Amino acid sequence: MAGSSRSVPDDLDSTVLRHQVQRYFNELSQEGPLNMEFLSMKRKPASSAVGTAMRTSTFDSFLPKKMCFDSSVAEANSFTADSSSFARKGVADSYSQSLNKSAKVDLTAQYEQKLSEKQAKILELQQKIIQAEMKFNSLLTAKDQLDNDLSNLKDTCSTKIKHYEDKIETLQIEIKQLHLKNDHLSKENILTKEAMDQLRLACAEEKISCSKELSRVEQKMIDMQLECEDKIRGLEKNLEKALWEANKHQMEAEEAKNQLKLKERVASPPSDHTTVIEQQRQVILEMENALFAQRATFSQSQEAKLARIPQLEKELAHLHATNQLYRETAANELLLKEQISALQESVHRYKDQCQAIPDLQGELKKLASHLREWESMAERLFDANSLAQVQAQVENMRRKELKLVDDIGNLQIELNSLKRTNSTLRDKVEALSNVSKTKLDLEDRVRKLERKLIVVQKDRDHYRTINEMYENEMTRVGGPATVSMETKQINELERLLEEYRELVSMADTTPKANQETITKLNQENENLTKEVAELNQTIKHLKTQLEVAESRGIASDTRVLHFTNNPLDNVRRKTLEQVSQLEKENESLRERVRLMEAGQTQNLTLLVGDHFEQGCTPERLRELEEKLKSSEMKNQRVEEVFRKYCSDFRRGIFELFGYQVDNDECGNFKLTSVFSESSADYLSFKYVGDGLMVMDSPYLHTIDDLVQLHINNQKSIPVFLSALTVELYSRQSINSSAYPSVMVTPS
Amino acid sequence: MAAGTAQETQNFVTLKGSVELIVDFFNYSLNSILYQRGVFPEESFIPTQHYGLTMYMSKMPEIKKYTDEILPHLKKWLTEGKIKKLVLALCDVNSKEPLECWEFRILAEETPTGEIKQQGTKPLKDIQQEIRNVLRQITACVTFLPLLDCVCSFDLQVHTKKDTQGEGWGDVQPLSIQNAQEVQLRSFSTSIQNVHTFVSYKSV
Repeated sequence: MAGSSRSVPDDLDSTVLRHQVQRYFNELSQEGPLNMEFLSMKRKPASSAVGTAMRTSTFDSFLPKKMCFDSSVAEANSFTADSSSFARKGVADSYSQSLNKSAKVDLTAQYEQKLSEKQAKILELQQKIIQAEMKFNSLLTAKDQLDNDLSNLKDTCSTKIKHYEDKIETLQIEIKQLHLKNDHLSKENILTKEAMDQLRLACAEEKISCSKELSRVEQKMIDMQLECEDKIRGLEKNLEKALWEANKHQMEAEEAKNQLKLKERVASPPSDHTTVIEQQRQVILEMENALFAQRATFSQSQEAKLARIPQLEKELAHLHATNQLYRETAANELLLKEQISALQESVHRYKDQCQAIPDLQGELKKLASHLREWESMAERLFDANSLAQVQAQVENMRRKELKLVDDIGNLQIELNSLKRTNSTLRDKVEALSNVSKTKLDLEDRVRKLERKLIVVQKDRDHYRTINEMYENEMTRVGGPATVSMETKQINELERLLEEYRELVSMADTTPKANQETITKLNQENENLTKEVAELNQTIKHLKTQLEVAESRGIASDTRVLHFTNNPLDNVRRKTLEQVSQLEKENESLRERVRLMEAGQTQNLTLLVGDHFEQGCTPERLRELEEKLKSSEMKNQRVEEVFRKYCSDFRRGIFELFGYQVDNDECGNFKLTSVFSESSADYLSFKYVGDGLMVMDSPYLHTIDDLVQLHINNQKSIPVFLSALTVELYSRQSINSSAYPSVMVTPS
Repeated sequence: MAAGTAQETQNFVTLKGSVELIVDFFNYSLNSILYQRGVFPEESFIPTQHYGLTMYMSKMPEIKKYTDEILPHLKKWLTEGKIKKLVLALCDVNSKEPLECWEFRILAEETPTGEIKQQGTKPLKDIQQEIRNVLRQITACVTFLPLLDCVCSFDLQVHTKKDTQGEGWGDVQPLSIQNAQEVQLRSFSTSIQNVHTFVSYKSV
């Protein structure tokens, strides 16, 4: 361990202790001379300090006993003497003083005691120093460990920095490569540009030359055309001239002929004229020959020209082709221009990318710093060195969060369910309280009614007693009462007799009765007419009301709505229920009163209940059950009989006509012959209107001839079925004796 | 409440705000009529302050539930312009005979294209003042209306267009009072919808 690290007063306890020791020594120095060498000991190692402490303790233990100053011992144990010389000096001084002053013996003893106490204190302090130093050592070891960790961290950081540096280098290399690529591309671009320029120049030159040539050729063509046209015009003129001349010559010839004829007529046989004529004829012939020659030459020249026309056409076509070629080259030039523009755009893009590179580098640095921050944060938060650990911890935390959320959800659900149960319980409690209230009300009513009943009973008893008393009085009176009764009876009988007499008289006077009935009917008629009139009036009134309502806004396009759960209906429903309940209660109480009047006193409530349930007594129930059972039995028997009859009937049909008849859900009849070769060979019939109709089936197509003959022509299903039976029977190779055994009767 | 829905920037109500105002007015009118006409006991009402007036609102749960159920439907239909009038009928419970009818005729103002106006032009303060006047008149009607000396309850009939439908609502015959006397109260307008109030009662 470095001494320098020890000398650093970083430990608070040790400094405090030192201060304490210093203060203590200062106190001692005030009391007497102090050897400050002890202070130098505190800078010695802990082991030596302990040793010195031990030694000083051993020395100091003897000190009070010796009570003298031994210089030789001090010299021999210079180290120990050094450590405790300040004490000895003090002791020696005090001792010399005691020698000099014997009266102060007690004081010295006290002094010694103090000294020993202080020495003990010193020892304690020394021990504390040792402990502090041990602490210091432990701290030093911790610091070493921390240094080690720091160095490790530094290493990791340096590796990471190296890694990032490598990354940056690679990125820089990439950037350089990109730069190089960019340069290369720019060079290429320049080259291509140059090439393009050259090409463009060449193209331009070529174009110019082509255009020149084209213009020249075109000019040539135009010239040639003009020339040709001139020539053609000249030739045409010549031709016209020649024709005109020819015509002229012909005219002249005709004139000459005419003159000749005239001369021939005028001059009777003049020989000179004939010669002249012959001469003239010769001249004419010559002229005609010359004309022919001219014509021939002209035609030849024209033919030669015509022969040249295809050549000229060929030339024209060639010129057209060259023209097309020039046009194509112009189009190619446009394409090249487009290529150049595309390349220029790519160059621009590259330039933009190059400009963006420094920004990207800056971003890269930023991201790296961010990454470092994240890493440090991850290290701080999760004590994790690698990303995987951080991820794992984050995932764990997420899982925990999910778990917690799930728990919260479950708790919420539980809470909701508890709330619901709480609310239902509250409702129940309220309902129960309502029930208890109604029960209390009813009990009150019952009590009131019982009280009333008691009052009524008392009244009844009272009246009975009065009645009895009256009867007793009457019995006591006797005779006159019976006489009065008899007179009453006689009067009544007389009245009845009179009524009978009236009836008899009524029977005698029937026409009168008829008249009365007629008058009655007339009256009724009048009443009815009045009623009709009244009804008409009410109809009119209602119509007017309707009109008023319509005028108020209840038009045909209006709908009048009301909320079905409205207070009026609710109140009405409640009141009706209450009324019905009260009526029931009233009825039961009446019954109760009746029973009580009849003399019943026990089980009144049960008796009342029985009275209300008389509508459905157990005997009646039993009767009804028996009836139900008997009707069920009857139904079952009818079903059985029907089934038996049905099966017999079907069997009979099967055996008699040779067809099993089944009826499916759609109401179709399925007929399967006894002689059919497979179960798929069946016929189906359906009712259409009044008659049956054969339904189409694969089997029906196999017997088309029978269908054609019997169904289509004869229009008879029985004949068709019989014919089919005969046909199938004839097909069967087995004899007829086997028929019954093959037959499977339908159930 | 309704002021919150009104547009604060211009201080003019929108269609939504107008509907809110009308529905609020109807709610207060209904409660006020029930209180003033003694349909339900006095102690089942609590006084509250609205539009600067003391209004009595029912605290009976069935009435509260009823209003809570019907008012959203009324809001929806008013917004769609389907309601023509609301008739609050006070009837005898035993005979179901109508004794008093409070009519609230609603006329929606339309744009030239025939659609309901979406934005009003009347300040909210003016509308509230008009509503206050109508509510005051409803309270004052007790002075001339005949005493209802039987067990009464109420029903609300909504006169709507044919295509109106709502959950819990059913068709009903329109009520009419025989020998009825009709009194028109003040009207108010939100500049989107006009509400004309009438009361008709059986003249003795």
